Amino acid sequence: MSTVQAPLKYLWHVKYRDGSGQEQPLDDKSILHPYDPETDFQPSAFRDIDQDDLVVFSLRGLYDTFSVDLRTGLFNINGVEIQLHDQGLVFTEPLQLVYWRQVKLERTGDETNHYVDKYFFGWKTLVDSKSYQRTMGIS
Amino acid sequence: MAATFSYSEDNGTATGSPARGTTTTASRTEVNWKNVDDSTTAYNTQPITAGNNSYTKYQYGVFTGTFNQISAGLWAHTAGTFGTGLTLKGVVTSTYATPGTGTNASLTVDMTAAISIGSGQTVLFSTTGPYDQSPVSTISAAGYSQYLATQLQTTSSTGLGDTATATLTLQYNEN
Repeated sequence: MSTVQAPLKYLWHVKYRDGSGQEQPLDDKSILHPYDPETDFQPSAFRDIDQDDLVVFSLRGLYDTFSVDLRTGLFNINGVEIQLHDQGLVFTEPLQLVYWRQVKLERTGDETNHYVDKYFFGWKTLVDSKSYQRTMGIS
Repeated sequence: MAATFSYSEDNGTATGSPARGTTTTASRTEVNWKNVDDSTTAYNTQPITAGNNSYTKYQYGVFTGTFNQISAGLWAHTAGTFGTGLTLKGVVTSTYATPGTGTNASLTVDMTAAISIGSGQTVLFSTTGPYDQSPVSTISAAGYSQYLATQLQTTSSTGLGDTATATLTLQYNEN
């Protein structure tokens, strides 16, 4: 290993309020934020997501689809709806998307294992000035 | 696609302000503790004599490629058992000092025993370098981890030959 990249098992897909969609391209490169030669940096396509208009965020693999609806806070696994927040919780502010991949680099001797350990996605919001966050982690 | 990662290593006399190594070697594939302050000499030609210590290693992560943010860094010894008389000391730091074989008191964490990565040391990041004196928890452009500094310390009872192989894990979040 000299330089390594963790391959992605799931790619994201988003649905906007107007019904349009956007998906993570295979090269994951942002269109709105192109490569900057000065800093030698290419932002990812995640930076292109319009967070204000987003209603559904999904992670799609070969066989499974996981999603969260930011209008209701409900998660969905292959069509099965799951509620992770308390029944009595009433949202007063918009739900904001949270998404990250937890990456591990395990180096043993001359070998490095570089992989995405888990994909986390969900939402965060404020209710009566108190912070709430619910995420689902999938491997 | 995702962030592209590699390890670099600093060696030699501390130079500059903030201090860094005189020599930087990119794309390091291993961390071998040995009796010489360089990155590439084979460890078996510069063995540590029982009762002495290795030179302190200053390695760090380099993040390039395609990502939005890198955050939540953790670092730990996560697998492998060192033999009798061996102690692995380490610390995550933004301070480079000229490596030596004296017991490095700056390496305040005993990393000899393997632990889960969730209990690892916090790693911060910078877009400037591992020596940045104001590292942050999240970067949104190409950057570096802090130095991941280690020293293998031995006693006169340490056995001959190679040590057991250890796994050092760096964990981070990206999107």
